[in-house]
Amino acid sequence: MPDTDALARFLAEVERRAYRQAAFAVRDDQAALDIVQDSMMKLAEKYADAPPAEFPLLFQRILQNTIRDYYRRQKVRNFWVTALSFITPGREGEEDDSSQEYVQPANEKDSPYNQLATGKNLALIEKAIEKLPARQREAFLLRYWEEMDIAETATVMGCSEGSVKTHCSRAVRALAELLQDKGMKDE
Amino acid sequence: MNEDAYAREMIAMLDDSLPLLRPEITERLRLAREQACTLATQGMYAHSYSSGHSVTWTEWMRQHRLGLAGMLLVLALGGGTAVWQAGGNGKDDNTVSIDTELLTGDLPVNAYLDGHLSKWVSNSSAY
Repeated sequence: MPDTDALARFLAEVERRAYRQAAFAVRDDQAALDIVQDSMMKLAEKYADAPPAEFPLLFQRILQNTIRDYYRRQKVRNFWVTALSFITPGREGEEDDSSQEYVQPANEKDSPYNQLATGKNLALIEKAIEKLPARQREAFLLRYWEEMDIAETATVMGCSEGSVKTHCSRAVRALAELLQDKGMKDE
Repeated sequence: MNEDAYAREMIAMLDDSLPLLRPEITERLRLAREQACTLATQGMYAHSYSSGHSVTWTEWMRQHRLGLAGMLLVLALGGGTAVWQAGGNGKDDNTVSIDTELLTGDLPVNAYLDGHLSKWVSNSSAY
């Protein structure tokens, strides 16, 4: 019988960070929520019986794979949208409108969250993290936000520990440069 | 620059921002978590998303696509074999009916053995 209390506690602890990770990656609130929900379902469906200590690694692996699946689906979708817009050029303008909305939802600008974030330079950091290459962002967030060690990060990312160190170092330097350009200084 | 310290400083700011997520997002996350826990309790494979659309049978089809393909292949082979057998039996039936005609019909056996059946028929009809 799975320990659902432990699973519930784990998901409650990790859900907001998971959502922000997905949102950094896909830049779409609804898609990010779908990804997190899908990941939770997969964890509950396949690994509810696993020891609770293994939940973080399993969940992160599922989450990262689900984000990659989303990228693949988007790639296929974009291919067909491009092909169809070539056949029906009238739809090109509509597609442009939706992609703008996709990058930055209109209602996000006015939220209390963003108003406060502007004051704390949080928005700058978030934008800088969004601009990082996918692998660097993944390594940075897993290593520092999820507090995984290098071996665990390498397992989740499916690469060597050396690659993790390189990705993390490049990510931090890139963030520092991006933020310096925006007027934030490192200490 | 101390990379670790710098990274942790940024992460601390991100952590501070987590409680400020919009209520509709936290609500959706809560619903997702509850659904996941329900799924874990029931041990069910089928589930529906909080948006309301059911994916039970499509999800099931996706999970069992190899088994379904194998089953279809077996059915196709079985069907093909049955049709082939039925065709063969039909041939046997024809042979049986010809044999019956040969043994019980009015036509002499020589008529069948004669390579020039039409000539024999014309000769016979002359009488």
